[in-house]
Amino acid sequence: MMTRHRFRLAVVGLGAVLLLAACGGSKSSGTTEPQSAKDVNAQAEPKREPPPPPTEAKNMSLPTVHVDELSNGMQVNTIVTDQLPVVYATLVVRSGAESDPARLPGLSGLVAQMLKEGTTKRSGASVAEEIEFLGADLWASSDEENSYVGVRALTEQFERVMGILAEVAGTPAFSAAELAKLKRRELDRLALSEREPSYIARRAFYRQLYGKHPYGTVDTNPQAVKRVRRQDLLRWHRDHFVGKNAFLVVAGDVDPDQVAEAAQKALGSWRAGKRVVPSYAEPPRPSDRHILVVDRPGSVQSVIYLGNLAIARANREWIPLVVANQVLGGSAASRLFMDLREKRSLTYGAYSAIVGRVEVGPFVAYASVRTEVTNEALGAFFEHLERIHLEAAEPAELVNAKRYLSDSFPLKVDTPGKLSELVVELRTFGLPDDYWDRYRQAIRKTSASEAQYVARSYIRPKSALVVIVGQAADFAQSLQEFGPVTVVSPDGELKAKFEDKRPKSAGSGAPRGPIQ
Amino acid sequence: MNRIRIGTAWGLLVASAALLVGTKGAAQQNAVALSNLQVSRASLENGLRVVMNQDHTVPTVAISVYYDVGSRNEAKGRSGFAHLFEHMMFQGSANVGKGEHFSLIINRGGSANGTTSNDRTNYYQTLPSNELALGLWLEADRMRSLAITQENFENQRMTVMEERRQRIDNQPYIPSMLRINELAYGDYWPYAHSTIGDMQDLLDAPLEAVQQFFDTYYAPNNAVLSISGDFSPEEAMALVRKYFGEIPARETPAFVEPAPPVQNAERTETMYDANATLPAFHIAYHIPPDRSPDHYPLEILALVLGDGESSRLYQSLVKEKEICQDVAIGTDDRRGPDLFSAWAVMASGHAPKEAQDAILAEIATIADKGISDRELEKAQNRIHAAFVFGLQSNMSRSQRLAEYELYWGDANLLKLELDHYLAVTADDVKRVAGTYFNANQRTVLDVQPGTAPDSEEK
Repeated sequence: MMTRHRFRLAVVGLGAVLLLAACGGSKSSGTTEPQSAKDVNAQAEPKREPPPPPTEAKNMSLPTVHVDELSNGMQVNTIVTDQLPVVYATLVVRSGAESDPARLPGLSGLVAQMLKEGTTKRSGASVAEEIEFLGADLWASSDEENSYVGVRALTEQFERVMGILAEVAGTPAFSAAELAKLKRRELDRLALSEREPSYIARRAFYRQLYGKHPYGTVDTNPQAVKRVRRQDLLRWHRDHFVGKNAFLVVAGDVDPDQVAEAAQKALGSWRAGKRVVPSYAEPPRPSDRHILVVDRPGSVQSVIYLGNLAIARANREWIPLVVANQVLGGSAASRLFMDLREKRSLTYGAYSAIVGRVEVGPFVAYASVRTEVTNEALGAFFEHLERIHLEAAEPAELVNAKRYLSDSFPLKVDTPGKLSELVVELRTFGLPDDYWDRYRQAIRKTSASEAQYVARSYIRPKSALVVIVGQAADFAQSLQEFGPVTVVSPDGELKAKFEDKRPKSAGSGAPRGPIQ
Repeated sequence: MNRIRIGTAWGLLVASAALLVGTKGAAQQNAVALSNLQVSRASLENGLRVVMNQDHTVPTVAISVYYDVGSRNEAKGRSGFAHLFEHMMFQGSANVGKGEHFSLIINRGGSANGTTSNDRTNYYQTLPSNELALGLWLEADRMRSLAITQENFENQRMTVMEERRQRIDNQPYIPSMLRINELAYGDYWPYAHSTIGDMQDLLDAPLEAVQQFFDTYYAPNNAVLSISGDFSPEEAMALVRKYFGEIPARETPAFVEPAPPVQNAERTETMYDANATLPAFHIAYHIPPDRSPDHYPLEILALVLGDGESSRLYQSLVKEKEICQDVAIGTDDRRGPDLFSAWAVMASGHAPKEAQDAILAEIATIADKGISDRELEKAQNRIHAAFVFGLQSNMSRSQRLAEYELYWGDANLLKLELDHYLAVTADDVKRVAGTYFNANQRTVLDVQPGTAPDSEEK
């Protein structure tokens, strides 16, 4: 028995019970596979008994979000759930990696990690000891948009852990000695990440897709880690950890007034400051396909990422696009999984997603496939991406996609921690207060033509970026049939280029200039 | 996409009440949360055991089916078969077409999966509560009649081999997780071999074995069905009887436990991992099965040593000496002979030996001087809190209850589990630290980055 949440290494745990999921796939209704002569059991089947018919989902109302504001402008959101004596509190600072200075990618992440390494009053070990003695958990992290400091605890510890949360978030020591230690750990972590094919793929994909836009950087790098100084952390913290640039979300067996009071006591003394809005460089808008192969000799699989810039989270077309994506690759019942895994056995799983961001987020499709079928898999991806906007989804597919998205919603709200995440999402992306109350209805109302229309706008195979990490010698040249190919080493060193050999009829008509 | 990284993977801990934390009222409230767990049990004439746990917080139901078969039941030469078979359970049955199992669930707003471990195979789904009948019908249909075809089987064989490549062979350090069990368990085949299986065994597995495995293990009397969430027990039981009642019981062979692993001398090995960048190591010691009396103080010992950032080894090896990138200590919690394991990735420039010596010394110190009252209390508080958090979702409750029913004969034992941890004393921890850590019970596996210097080594 052990908790693993502080594990940063991508290991499955401690050797013992390797749980192996069988996330299987499915066929859409109406596409019955012709059965081979060997399928004796299948052919001998008598008439099938139908499954219990679908019934109407129960109505569900979400708990109210109580909103208060501290004297320094910090917003406090409280959700009361009383089934268990637990509470989650998340302080969200509305600046993350997109606010990193250009010379220090990952600075926000280092700030978040350093919060737990000691305050002006005491050491990080002392903070950890107290938190753990209380049976609570404390975490600090960041993503593109935000930095987070969170705790979860039994309710009776609420005021105590709020105090610790505020101490950690508000008065970090950023000690030079601790920073030196963190830098060493970060360098080791980065070195290990370099060996993980999906990390390499993700990093290359975002870098290529977003260029100098802040979303182009998915992690810090060794140069930045070496360069960063205590002063950089202090300054970033001072500018961003202020009342008007932060909000608090508390969910659990608590009383909103008690929460407002505890929050004022713990966080009300913060400087009000101002909301910090990052400046964004324009991401590139490619007019043609680009296939980037990152060579990883010895790889037994190819990790494939492909996609394009799509849509901002708050865009009104988000919901129909999610419906379209559900048909295409959102789950193990979607086309990509059914075809690439269940029918063709190319992969353990193939999916696609629309990634929610404040600014334009990507559409991305991905799979890890065995090396020798890399070409076939990429072809299959393109086939499905083309199809999703050439023809409307079958009525049954659409019904299923919508029912999944709407009726699975209760699964997203079954713990106070998950309810908190929904509120964080509301505030981060500036969604209307009643967004989640109307969400299921909005999904159900999406029409086939709407879904197809948005897919056509936001899923663009003809100008897609493809990133493949794998043993390039085995497949890179063959990918010419899909477009121009560049092969680089994981460090970005150019190793080979192969010209576009797409059949003319399949071309987009876009100019095929030289590869940058 | 779960883009907000706040709900990270807290392991579900089964846990203990630490009444010293907080006010008396609050402690009582927590005890109430546990004893309020509504658990009812029933069994059908065909031997299917049913566990039901009502909770109307959200309109969902979680359904788990646990079969008493895992990789420990596999014959030599058939490693990986239990898991490969698990995949086949999603390939259709008498009334469910190939692949329809997943699509029916997903398309009605649910999610489902299955996992295989050494000790059992489980299948689980969460559905909107109005779809309880669908979930039960699907589970019953495949318990009664699996569709076994060469085509399905070949397809799943390929998928599992791809799974192995993706999740094991292509990832740093994961192959070592398999190797440490082979080494430590030695001749004790049930746990020595991996659940994912050898590639050759997967290739060799014949179609006939699928039907045979189904007939042998997938009988109602070899399974537990567990339902948690928003449902009425009367209605649920009526559905269970309707769908499962006619499935005939079959004779299933009891697991024949081989003699426990015998080790008389320390085992050491060095392996090479081309995907790794830093040296790492495992240390494993033999300990008694999960839920045996000494297992509880051994779990507390592991927490004191390596759980949380304030634990002894994290503080000394990662923070103070900076010789490790990370360290983890834990028991593996098997039904049979268990392992107490340490796993660490070294910081660059440091060799495993440095950290290994420190870990052995720390255990020896505890064997000599024991742990402080505050350390004991901290471990118990963490266990306690993790227990309460582990009750949050319908799925986690249904799984824990099913596991207790299957392994230990009564789901209600979960409610009493707290007492075992609460009863552990600092002296118990000291005693086990002095009992189970002899050098001749130890297996050490060093992992070096790169490839073996001379020849190909397996």
